Amino acid sequence: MMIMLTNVAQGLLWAIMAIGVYLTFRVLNIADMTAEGSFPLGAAISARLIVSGSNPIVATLAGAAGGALAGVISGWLNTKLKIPDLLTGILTMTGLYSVNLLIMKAANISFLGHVKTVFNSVSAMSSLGGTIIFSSGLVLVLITSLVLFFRTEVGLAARAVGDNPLMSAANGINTDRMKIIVYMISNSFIALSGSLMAQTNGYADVSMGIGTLVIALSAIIMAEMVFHKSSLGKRFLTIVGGAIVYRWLIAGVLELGVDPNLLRLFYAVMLVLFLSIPRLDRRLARFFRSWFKKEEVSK
Amino acid sequence: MTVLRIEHLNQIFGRNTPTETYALRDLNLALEQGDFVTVIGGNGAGKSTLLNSVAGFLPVSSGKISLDGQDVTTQNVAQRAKMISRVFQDPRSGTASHLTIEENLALALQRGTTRRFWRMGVRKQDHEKLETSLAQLHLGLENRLKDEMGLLSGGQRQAITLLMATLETPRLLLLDEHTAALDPKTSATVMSLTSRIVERNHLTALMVTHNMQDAIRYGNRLLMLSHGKIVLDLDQEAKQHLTVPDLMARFKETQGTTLSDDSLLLS
Repeated sequence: MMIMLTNVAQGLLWAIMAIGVYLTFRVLNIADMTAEGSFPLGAAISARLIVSGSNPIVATLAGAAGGALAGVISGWLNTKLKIPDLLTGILTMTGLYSVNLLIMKAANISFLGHVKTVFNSVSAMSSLGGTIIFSSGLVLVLITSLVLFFRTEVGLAARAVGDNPLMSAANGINTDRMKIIVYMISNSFIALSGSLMAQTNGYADVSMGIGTLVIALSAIIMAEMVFHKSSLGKRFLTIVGGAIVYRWLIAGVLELGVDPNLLRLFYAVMLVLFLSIPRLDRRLARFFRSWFKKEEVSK
Repeated sequence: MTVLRIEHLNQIFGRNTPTETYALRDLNLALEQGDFVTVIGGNGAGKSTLLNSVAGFLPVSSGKISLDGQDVTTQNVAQRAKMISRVFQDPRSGTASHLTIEENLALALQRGTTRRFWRMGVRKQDHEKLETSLAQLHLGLENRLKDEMGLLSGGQRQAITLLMATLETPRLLLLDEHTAALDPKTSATVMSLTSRIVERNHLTALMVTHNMQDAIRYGNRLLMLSHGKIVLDLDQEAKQHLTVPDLMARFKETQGTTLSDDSLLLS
């Protein structure tokens, strides 16, 4: 039970990242790999600021802002320089590796000692329950703001650009601007997740971004497997569910005594499974659906 | 008043290569306010190139395009959308499948404006206007505002695209063989709807079509393109006495060949 709860906290943080990835992957219909660089970027900026004595909230926001900037760069490369989306992500991600080392001045920063993070600066939040409540609240606020954003003129236009760029341009939508805005929001979410992850784990590491995309996609695909069609708001909520269940799977595997070094191989194999299950057998997907519902009830 | 003016327009594909071709060659054209011009021509005559150049999808090789006297040659599609709206051949091209009917229409209402963060995409006060305009299509879609666009048939989507293109009155309406992908009955419905909307709003329109009957029946001017040039330009009066066989004969004259697949479309 304890392990389940600990992993809910982690799953909630993963959910923020997965929702960020969803914005480019599904809303814009773009494969953006910037995530692998913006996740550790958020962690690096926050860690650096926190160990040099900044307010942890300011440090967290700065981390998210760094991610937004990384998103703008990828978006700009993609729309203005017309570099294909897959490549722009790889370019930004590679560049960010050096930037992250530059920010951290080392391969990792540990919060050992009496460092204040968003999670331990308020005594009520330092407990596991506090962390879960804080994270759930944050996720709900983020989802609500996203849903509201996608109902504005800009948000509606951004969804149209992902759906039908030709029609969007013909209706006078500045498609480049919309793409850059979504890139920006997406990567600020991912960096925010990285920043909070570093603060709960107690360290930031330059290689912590490896696997980000596979985790996010797993959460997204799981959500889509169980609930085929959803409105945007419900989709975000199902991704949160997906991220938590996925985190439980990982925890279960570690619990079985699997070598942690094999974890990323496991991530990859899991995603291959998730991607192939709906194709291999529709009935299996239905089985997952009923299984998921039971999980919900037992919680 | 001249709405569209095209001066010495050249569109050259594969420039400075052995396959260099002129899709449009020194084309000049002026559309007056209220003109409804139909454009016909064989495959590769330059009809689509002409429409794409006017809409801004295709940067011009040389020449000048102006709308209401304003030079728009270097403007992109989104910038020209302030004045131009367009219905595509493929019914899926004109609407966003995963958005609702209401959201699609709202996007069209905002055509040519700068989208803002502080304004709602779908506004309550527009609801009635959207419902009324949908009702005018007589397709029973006025109660389905919340339905996803992807659920509708090609004909319904094309009718909605047409509505979207004219919800905010454009200075110029471009119709790119917009009935070609529909079955004959739906095609006729959409065509008469087009004519009704154009007349009621006194629109200036440029319609490319494969259907010679339509080209004669609708509009007040008929152009025939061949090898990137206007080879026939008939005004309202000349058009009135025109029959499809006449047009076929003129076509053969200019083309030096007979029509192939186009002839299949003649009724």
